[in-house]
Amino acid sequence: MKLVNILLISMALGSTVACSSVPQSRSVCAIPDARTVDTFVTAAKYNLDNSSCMTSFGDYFDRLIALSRENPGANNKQAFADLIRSGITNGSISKRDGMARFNAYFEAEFYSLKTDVRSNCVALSDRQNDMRALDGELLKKRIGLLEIIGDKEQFRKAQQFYQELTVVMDAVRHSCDAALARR
Amino acid sequence: MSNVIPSIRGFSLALAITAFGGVTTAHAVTATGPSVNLFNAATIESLSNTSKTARALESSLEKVINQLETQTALYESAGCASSNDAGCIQLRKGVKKNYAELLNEIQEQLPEIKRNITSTRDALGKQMVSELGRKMSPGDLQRLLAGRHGKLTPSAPALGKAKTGRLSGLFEGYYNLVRRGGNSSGNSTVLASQLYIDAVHSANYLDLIGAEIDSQHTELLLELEWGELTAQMTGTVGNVKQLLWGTEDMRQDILNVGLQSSQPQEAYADLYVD
Repeated sequence: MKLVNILLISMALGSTVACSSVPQSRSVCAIPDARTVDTFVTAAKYNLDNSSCMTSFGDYFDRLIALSRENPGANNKQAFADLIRSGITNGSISKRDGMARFNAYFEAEFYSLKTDVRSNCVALSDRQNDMRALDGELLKKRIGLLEIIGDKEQFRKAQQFYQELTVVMDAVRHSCDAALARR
Repeated sequence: MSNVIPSIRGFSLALAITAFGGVTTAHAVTATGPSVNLFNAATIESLSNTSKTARALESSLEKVINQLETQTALYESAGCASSNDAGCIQLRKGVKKNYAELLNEIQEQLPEIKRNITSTRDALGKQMVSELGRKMSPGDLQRLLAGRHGKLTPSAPALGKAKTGRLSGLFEGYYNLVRRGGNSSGNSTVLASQLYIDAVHSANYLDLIGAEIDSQHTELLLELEWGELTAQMTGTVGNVKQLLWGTEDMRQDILNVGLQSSQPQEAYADLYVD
């Protein structure tokens, strides 16, 4: 009888602990309800130090984008760098993922091209795919460079890269196709 | 008609690069840029030939087109469309004769221009495949356009506004552009790419003009009513004029490329990718 009682009590305690642990973890990792970019990043970095919040990095990043679009300014770039570095340090994201995010939003050049090591004749054979990648990244640059940090000059530069790359890539693709057709 | 613009730019670029081939040659590379050799001797020779034939066509057609336009304007203003006055008949004969002469002139010179443009396209295409298509990755292309190799570099001065105008007047404008900024690898890469695309479009467009002119046999022109004749003339002369003299100058868009500075990004060096 005693054994049964002990088992029942253990199960009850176990379920209590289990029930309380889930909401506790959720609240610890919840997206910080901060109104300024700096306080948000501080709170998000604090959360990320907790290993159970590692999977929340994407949510924090998205919220930081929304919050910084509402509060544009050159300092926002630093806030993103801080959040990304924190994510990399505690293992929430890989260094490659962190760099991809930072470059896609805050660099005039196109990250999606930098990671492709194939020769152009091979890499540029699918124009639609190339253009989708460039279009998607240009949109991120508009958000990052223009809407978040307000750097018109850098965004214009990104647009110019986009135009030049389109011309050069089209010409290279066409010349490679023509060479292939002549064989 | 939108196909005409690339053709004009193709000719323009051909002329410009030919004239200053030594300067635009991508052998001339910035100190930090990777070396590409897009304008080799064969390409420059093709451009030179294209330039000569385009210039010859321009000068031989200019007089005929001017005469044709003057005669047509006179015919319209004199109300000759609804008159069988002897002067009007004479004028109509003159227009037909000039138009036939124009068609013959074009028909005679078009094949050579087409040959040169095709040769330019193929020579440049070959270099592009060899230098950009096989040796480089998309990332290399971007670095080339950015005018750097391995690290960020200071910018070249921004280019001024280019002059617009007729084909023969483009030399000076191009010379200035090339002298001031057109000798970087990134710049000449875009220039070569644009020229290649224009040569492709020009060759296609010349085929269309050739077919249009072939269908207008000069002996049939003499039988045409005035309305039919003017409709044909307006189309053909308009196309030829756009081909040779153009309406739009896009050199600035083409050449003002890759010249902006890259801001130093030391603070984020760990997050940026070269």
